[in-house]
Amino acid sequence: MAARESGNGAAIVEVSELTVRYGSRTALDRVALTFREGISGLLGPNGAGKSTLLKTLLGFCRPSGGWARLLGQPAGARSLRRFVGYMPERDVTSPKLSAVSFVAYCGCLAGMPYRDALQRTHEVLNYVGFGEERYRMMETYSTGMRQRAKLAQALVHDPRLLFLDEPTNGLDPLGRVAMLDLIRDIARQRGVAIILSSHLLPDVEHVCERVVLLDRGKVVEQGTLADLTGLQEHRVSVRIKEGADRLARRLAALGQGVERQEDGSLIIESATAEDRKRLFRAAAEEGLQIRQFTPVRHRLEEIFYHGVSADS
Amino acid sequence: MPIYEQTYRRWEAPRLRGGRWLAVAAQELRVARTSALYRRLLLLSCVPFLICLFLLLVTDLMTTNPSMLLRSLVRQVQFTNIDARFFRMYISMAMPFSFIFCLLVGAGSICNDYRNNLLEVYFAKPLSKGEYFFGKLAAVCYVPLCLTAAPALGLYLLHMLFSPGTAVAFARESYWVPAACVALSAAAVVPTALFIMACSAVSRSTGFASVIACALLFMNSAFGNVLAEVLRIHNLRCLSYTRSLVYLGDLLFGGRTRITLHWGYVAAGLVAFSVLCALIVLRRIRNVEIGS
Repeated sequence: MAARESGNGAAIVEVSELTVRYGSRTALDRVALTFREGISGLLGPNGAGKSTLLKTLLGFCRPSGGWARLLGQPAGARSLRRFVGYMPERDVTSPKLSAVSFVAYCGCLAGMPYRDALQRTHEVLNYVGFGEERYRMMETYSTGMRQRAKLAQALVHDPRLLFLDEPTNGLDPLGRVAMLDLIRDIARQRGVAIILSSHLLPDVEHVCERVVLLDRGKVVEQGTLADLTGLQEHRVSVRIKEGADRLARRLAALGQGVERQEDGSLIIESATAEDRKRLFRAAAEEGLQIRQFTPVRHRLEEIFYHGVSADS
Repeated sequence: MPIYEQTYRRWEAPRLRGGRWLAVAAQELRVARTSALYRRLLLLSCVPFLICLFLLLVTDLMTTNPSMLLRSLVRQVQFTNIDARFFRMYISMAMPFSFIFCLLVGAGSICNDYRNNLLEVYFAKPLSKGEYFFGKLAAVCYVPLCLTAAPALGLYLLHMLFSPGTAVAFARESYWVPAACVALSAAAVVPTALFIMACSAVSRSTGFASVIACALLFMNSAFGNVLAEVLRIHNLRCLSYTRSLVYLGDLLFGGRTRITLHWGYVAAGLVAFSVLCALIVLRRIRNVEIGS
């Protein structure tokens, strides 16, 4: 499997000028992006084209222009699917089957002999946290268990690349964290490349190394999370022991931009060295003790809203 | 403490290239077996075979043993003559059961996968729509063919075994019967299975698919028979699917019929009907999987 090495990590998915239309509606508009090894986040509001992109890569949607390559091969080729796992967004259940039968069946469909598929099913179900409930009918499962069963079927044939479409949908906070930890483990300990599609920013921020932001079928932003959430040199976060309000009023009176945060810290516009001197001077005059002084990082939420609103 | 570590490990064994349709068929039958109705009907469906087996044994044992007092009495009874009509009779008795099994397995075969969003999951694996289609068809046809063709062939062989004195003459006279049994069973089961799968493909639930299938068959039968009666053209009865099967059975097993239409037209009609049903099913599947 040829994969182009460039930058940080090999390119697992390459997409160029990809256009997908549903009738007259353009779902993907000349999308060009690259996903590399590790966990990549596909971020965007509902209807941005995230699921369409994943389905096109799997061969479920026919592109009307451009091309895509997965693991060095043209996307959509059936032979490629043995290396790819897919956890769809929609609820999946096989009412008359247990998780064991369902996942083993999925293994057989991926070309595994039944005995191997059954053994592998138990390994994967253990891994995603199933106990004896694996023998119960799937129709009796909670949402969390169904999500884990979906993940298990995507992993049973040992894929090299995993597409996860909204994997934390419908999960309670504990279940969400457990699912995200599992996803991180799959990528880091098991060496599976993951593309995580979500509209939940904390999920993406929690596990992803790289992010592609889609809106209305177009790529709005892409890069590593570290690059995108880089330092804002003109803004600093200041934490005061007591009397943050007094300092805020004083700085505002001096004409300096100040934002009060919910956690009690202040975000201060501080473009120049003179601004910073003024800040320290004001704190000293008010008799306040500065406990923390750090440059502010861009938040993914800001990038998301900026990208989406700029595009619209 | 497990005997060995049961956790996520790499799986490096070679994957099978073909045979996925078998996995689809096996899974479909596994799901069907979970139904109590299915299991009970399976037991009940053995009744026609047991009746015919009893008749065959009684006839063979009594007619081959000259010392039997009831020999002459048994020979007087028309239906105990073991000839082509006996095997036709068996298939006719088993046919309702084969239809019910087609309905039980086939009605939910496509719509359940569609409703439960399973097609996306299955086609994300290296499964082609052809493999999926043939797997489902094999599952729907398996039990009905096991109920019609297989027991008919078994009865044929048992008759040869139990009446060794007349076996050679019987085989010479009715060498075509096994082929006729298979042909009639296939002509009845395969189009029915495809028709029910097509009904399943266009509906959202098993119950709805079953109702559509039964209603359409009833209407088709009524239409063909009423039209033939009104216009007084017997050949128009072949517009009815069930009458077409009866006519083919008459032709294959040497029965009397008032229909004079060439069998080729009836066979072509059944093939066209099957192809149409298959296209409906494939179109539904194609909505999900379009990969090369």
